[in-house]
Amino acid sequence: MQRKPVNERARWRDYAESVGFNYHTIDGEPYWDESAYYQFSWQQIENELEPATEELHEMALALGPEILASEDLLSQLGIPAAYWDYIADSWPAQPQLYGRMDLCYDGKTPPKLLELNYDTPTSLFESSFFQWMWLEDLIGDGVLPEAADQFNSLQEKLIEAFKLLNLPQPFYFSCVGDSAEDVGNTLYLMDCAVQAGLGTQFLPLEQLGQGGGQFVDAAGNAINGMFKLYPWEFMLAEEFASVLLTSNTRFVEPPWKLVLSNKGILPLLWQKYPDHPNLLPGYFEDSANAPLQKGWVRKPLYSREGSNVELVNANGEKIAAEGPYGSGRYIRQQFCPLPQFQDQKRGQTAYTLTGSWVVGDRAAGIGLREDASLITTNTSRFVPHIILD
Amino acid sequence: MTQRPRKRSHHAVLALMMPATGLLLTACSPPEPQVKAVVYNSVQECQEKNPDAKEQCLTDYQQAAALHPKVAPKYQNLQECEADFGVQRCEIAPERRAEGGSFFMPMMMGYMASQMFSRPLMGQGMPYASAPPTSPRDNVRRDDNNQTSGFAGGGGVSTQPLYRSRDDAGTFRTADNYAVASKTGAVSVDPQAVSGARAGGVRSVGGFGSTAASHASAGS
Repeated sequence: MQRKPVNERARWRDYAESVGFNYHTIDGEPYWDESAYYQFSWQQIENELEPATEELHEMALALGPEILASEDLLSQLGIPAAYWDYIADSWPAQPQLYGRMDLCYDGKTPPKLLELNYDTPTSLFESSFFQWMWLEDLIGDGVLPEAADQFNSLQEKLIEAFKLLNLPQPFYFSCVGDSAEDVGNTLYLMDCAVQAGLGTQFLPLEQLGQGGGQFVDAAGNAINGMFKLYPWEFMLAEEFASVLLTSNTRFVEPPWKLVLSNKGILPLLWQKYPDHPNLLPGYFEDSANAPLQKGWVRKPLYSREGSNVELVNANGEKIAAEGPYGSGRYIRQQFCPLPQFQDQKRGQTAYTLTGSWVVGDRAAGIGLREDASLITTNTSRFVPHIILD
Repeated sequence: MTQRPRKRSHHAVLALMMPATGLLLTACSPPEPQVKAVVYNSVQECQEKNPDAKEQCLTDYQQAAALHPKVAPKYQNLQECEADFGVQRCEIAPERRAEGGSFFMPMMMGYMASQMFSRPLMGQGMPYASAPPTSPRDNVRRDDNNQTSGFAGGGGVSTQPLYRSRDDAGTFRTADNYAVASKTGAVSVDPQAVSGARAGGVRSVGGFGSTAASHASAGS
């Protein structure tokens, strides 16, 4: 696993905007960064990242029914009792579409699971289509050799998954309309669904209505199936939550994803598979007042994009990210130092996180995020990768 | 050494997010088909125009009238209903509010039936039939059944009640507020638009999304 500088493609920003990738730059800072790429060996993908991803996914799925059948565990995960049956009923009848797990991987030691982003994973369009096109362009321009490959079968697997899920039509795609990133990710999934032959319809979440206990679109048509890039834990806390119990809408991701996207899955995995080479030790925080020990990380049960995460590294230095999720319960996880690379362009260290995608139940590729901080957030740069020995 | 399997997609193209596609959101809708239907303001009008089909007129009317309380928009009070549909154009809906009291709904001002007098395509329990779900596999195969057996492809529309709004009293509208005709008689309608899968309850919008206000993205 190496980081290599490379020339950016001429006018890539124009191309990005022409395909709706309008969030390539966030607050004036690069988000998509093709001034460098990461290079993996074949062995690192074939023998490490790919099998670890599928094994971790299987382990997480194996925990699903145990949690759904246990009132103690559901309580521990902070899931409202009124929705236990609703959530349990979706398992296993409604399979997942996709998820992303974040891994701490340095190319030498086994990848370690940092967390499962299994409900509303983003960075999909750039991981899938845009990263793929970047490699095609660089091979086409002779910058990279023909032998260069990429761990990225996301688009093929997404289209295949949409064909197999047997979804109601028209199948709606919904997200909060004022987030360019969310809209981009949602439209990309809708694009894949269209290519799978589904009849689709985009519906800004703000326009979702309810009538007579059913969810309806802006014209009043009943919604029988909907992808929502909106967290289940938000939905269960909002005004329409009770409509879920009477509606016939099939949601993607399904309700049981609430259980797996919860950070509480991390200590539960460690309890079930202690000392697994791809897991970090973790436990539920008993007392919020207990000081964070050297080499540990504290994460809210529900948080996104690194928000409200704090850690104390092996040297005892404390690093924290602010955010809106600070009110609930926390878990603690052993600190895994992200690998460091030299960012020559910026003259600083880059800490790199490997996001590994699962589509259906198969490993489908990776997207790398780097940051000058040890905590990866929603503005951490996305840097493309290749496989080349 | 054997050839290593490729780890990236063999092809990747965009169908909707294509360069220079300005209207991403409408690109997926095929042109709407039109089907024939007939609008009547009363069963008497239907029977006068179709003296040989008086029974059919009665059946259609009864069917629309039975749907009316299920699909008509409901209001918390009479004033709100009359604001939309006009004074003395509203009535008490059969369902009761959980906190006590009544809902109000507009009166049925007419009905629409299939011009073909074909049989109703919806079951008893369901207000309207919508197009049958089409599996992706069927879509690829272009199964002939989908062209003929479904509501949308069957050449008819669901028999249903019609309403007139206060601000546009000359127009017959479905319970979904789809404008059907400005007079009785034959009309062409988009079968999807009048499929009326809506349940006719008290409607509200925007009950999800509020938590997102404090977050840049709802993704992770």
